[in-house]
Amino acid sequence: MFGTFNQLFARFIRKKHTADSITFKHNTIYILPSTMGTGFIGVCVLNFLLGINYQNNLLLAVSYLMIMLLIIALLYGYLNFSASEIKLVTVNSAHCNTPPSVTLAIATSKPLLDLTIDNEALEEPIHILNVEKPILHCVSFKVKRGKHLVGQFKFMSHFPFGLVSVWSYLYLNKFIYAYPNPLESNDPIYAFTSNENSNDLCSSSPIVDEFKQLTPYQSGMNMHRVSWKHYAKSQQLLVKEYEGELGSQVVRFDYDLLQGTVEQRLSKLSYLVLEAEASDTLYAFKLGGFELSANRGEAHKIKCLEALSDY
Amino acid sequence: MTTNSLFFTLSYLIITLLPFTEFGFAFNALMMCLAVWHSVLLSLNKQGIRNAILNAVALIGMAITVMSIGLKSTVSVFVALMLLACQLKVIQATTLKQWRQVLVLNFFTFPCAFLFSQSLYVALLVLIMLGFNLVLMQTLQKVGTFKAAGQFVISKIMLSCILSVFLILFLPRLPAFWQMPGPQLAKTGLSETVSPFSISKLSQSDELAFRALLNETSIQQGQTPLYWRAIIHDKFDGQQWTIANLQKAPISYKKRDELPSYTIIAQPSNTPWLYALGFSTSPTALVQSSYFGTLFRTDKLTSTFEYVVTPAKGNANTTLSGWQYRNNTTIVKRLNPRAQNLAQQWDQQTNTTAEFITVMRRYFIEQQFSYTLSPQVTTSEHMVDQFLFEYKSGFCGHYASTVAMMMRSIGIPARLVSGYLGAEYNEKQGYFSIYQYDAHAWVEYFVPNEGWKSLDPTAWVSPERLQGSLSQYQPLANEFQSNLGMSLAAFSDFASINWLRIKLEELDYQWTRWVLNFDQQKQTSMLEAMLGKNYQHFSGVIAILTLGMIFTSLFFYIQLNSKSKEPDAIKHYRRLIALSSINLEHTAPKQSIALLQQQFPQQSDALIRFYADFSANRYQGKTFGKNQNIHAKNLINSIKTKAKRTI
Repeated sequence: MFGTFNQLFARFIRKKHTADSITFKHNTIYILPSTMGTGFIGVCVLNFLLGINYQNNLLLAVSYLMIMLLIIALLYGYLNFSASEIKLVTVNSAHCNTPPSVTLAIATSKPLLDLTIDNEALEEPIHILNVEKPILHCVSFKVKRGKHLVGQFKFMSHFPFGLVSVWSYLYLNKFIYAYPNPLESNDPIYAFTSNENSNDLCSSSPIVDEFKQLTPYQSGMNMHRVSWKHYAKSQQLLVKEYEGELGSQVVRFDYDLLQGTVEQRLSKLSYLVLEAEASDTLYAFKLGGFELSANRGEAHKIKCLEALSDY
Repeated sequence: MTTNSLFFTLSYLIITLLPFTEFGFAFNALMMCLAVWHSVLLSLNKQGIRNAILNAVALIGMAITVMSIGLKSTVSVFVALMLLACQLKVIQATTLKQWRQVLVLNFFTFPCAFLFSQSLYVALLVLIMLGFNLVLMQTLQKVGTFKAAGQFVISKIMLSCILSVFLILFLPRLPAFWQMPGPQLAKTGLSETVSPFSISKLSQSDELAFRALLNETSIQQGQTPLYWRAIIHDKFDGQQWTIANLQKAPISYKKRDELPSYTIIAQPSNTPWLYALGFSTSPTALVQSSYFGTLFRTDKLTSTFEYVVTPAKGNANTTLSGWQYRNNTTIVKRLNPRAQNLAQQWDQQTNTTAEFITVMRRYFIEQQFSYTLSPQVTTSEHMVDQFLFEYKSGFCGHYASTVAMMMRSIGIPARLVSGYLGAEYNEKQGYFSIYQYDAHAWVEYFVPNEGWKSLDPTAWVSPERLQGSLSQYQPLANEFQSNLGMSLAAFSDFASINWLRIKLEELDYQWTRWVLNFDQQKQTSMLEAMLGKNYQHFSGVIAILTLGMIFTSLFFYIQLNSKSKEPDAIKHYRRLIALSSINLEHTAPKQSIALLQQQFPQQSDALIRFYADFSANRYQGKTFGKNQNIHAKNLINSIKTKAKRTI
């Protein structure tokens, strides 16, 4: 019975709070007495009973005082929380050890006190004592390798006195990848395979160092190749391309050729991809049924790493 | 958490050691030991005592508590155990959760002091403790400094206090659900047996016994001595007078309409006996009048109690039945032969009771009897004889016993009455205070066809004692004060201290009358007066609605206040750039001002000046004062008027 209710509530939250940002206001804030607040109410009832039975005005006054304090705490708790806005800035996929993180922007026009951020993937809730001006907060995830749904963030405050829980949710329908940690590969070089159509270890086509053209810079391109002369002149980032580059040195990473357990092999692959990217080598990638033709650059690397996470 | 835990320990200790929470020496010592233990632990920076040790201490503590207080007064035991448990929890607490439990529990433990005393001072003490407790709850969240939390709490607790008073006034009161055992406390200056001859020093207490609100002007001017009757003693065994069997036999008397009623607010005395002038009856629930015309309550007074006294027609009973006559003339013939002889002599000289009394009075005056609070203890078994012929000095009990015994010996029915004599009148507030040191004993004797009459033999010896209170009685001042011990009344010679004493007393009176004794009856009459008869039932609804309104306005008020305010310099700057035709929101101030200068060349100087003020305020931390404000406003206005003209 309780379980089904929880499920229904979770579904309700998912439906209502799926967005990239949330503004805390009357229809998105949930507010109830906290555990401490429940105890407080209990004590208040006890005082009331004593006051009634002893016809003791002062005990009665204490019990009314407690109720008033609780109501005031509810008001202040609500106002402390309301009118703040939380926005998703980026989902930063990364290696498990880096770790992956989600960056949130917390914007508020007035101080927001005692904010706790919680997510399933957090080891323990993050506690921010005081948000006075808009801040960016990076929430690091503790997750295993894989493709994860960011899911539900719960924002909570117990201000004031810890008597009330004021909370809200942000449900991010986004995926975050936890790439396998790179593991230095001691496997012999035969893991490398050359160009698609040859079975040689390495293609031996000569590297021609002849300049071909300048292309606009795209994110992830090797900074070594930026033509800094051009940048100095025209503040335009252009990248030098050379003749016959594509045929230069192509390696091919294949999961099936590596040794070790699944995780080890994935980690090794991850290492190889990173190394190849760092040394600006063209690389093809094969992981089970997933295959990528030889390429390089940030986008290519990420595709590979995502594939590794999702394997 | 050091401040926290020390505060807890200190408050538990204070509650334990409050004079009215009589937990016994053993329990007090136990709590003190625990407090010392706790502070030693804190100073050694040790945390987390092993549970086994704590459990052992708890068991020993419980045993000590029960032995120290006794199982009879359940409420005291309960509160003491509560204090003990809280103290042990504080010593044990290490985690946030445990501290929270302590903090919440304190909201129950501290107000428990109200079970024992409801004086203004205790109320203030508990309020301060609860406030501090709230501050600690706030600092536990670590959101701000201790000072900030303190400020936050003070305003909230004040508001809550006002609102809870409002609720007390207007929310309908529920009757008690069930009968609870009351705490055993309070001593009274009166006792059910009177044995003056074995007392060497009449210890006096300046505690309040009760207050009376009389409207009769003659009484207020102190013309008639006020004899407050409480207990009738009609058995004398030669040593002590014991309470009459009929003292608790309820009888209803007809009230005398010609005499006005008056109100008495009695302090808790732990006895059922109430006070009244003369033969009385009472319309207040729970109050009954006895055969003797004294008042009593069906249960003991454990908290202040207000009742109305109406003079009754009881004195009309002018005959005495045989058994009553015998009962009121019995003495032990064997004892006090000399006193009996003397009484026989006087009896032969006189014809009426009145004459007998005159002779008796003459004897006391001629023999120079004196009044003292520190009499000699009688050594003989013929106590009255020793007093009458040897010591010749004593207090009211001696005179009353002697006279009553002598009257009985010659067949005049007589009995001893104990109660209070006199009162201190507070002119401003118009009420009388009667203290424990005003306790008194006198005689009532029976005259056939006339009924019972009262006689105060002490008055023969010290007639001044009849007017006012004992504290106002000069000849005995020194003795009175030495018997009083440390108290404000002991310093009533100093005008300022006496003034302070009377002021505090006034405050306490208002507190008792309006706070402690506010009950269903008073609420009903107040609501009737305020809302009229038909609407008083809606008081609860009105209270809730008003509260709703107060909280709504509070809500908007906080919301308005919490919007962070921009400094004046920035406000003016924003208004200035809004006047420009270009959007300057993302331009640096210096550049914006330069652009504005281009736009409004006439105001160029003023703009430069504004920028100087602005930068001095924003970048050098100088004040943006009144002058700067005026300049900025003038600048904005001149640009505005110019803009209008061009249009």
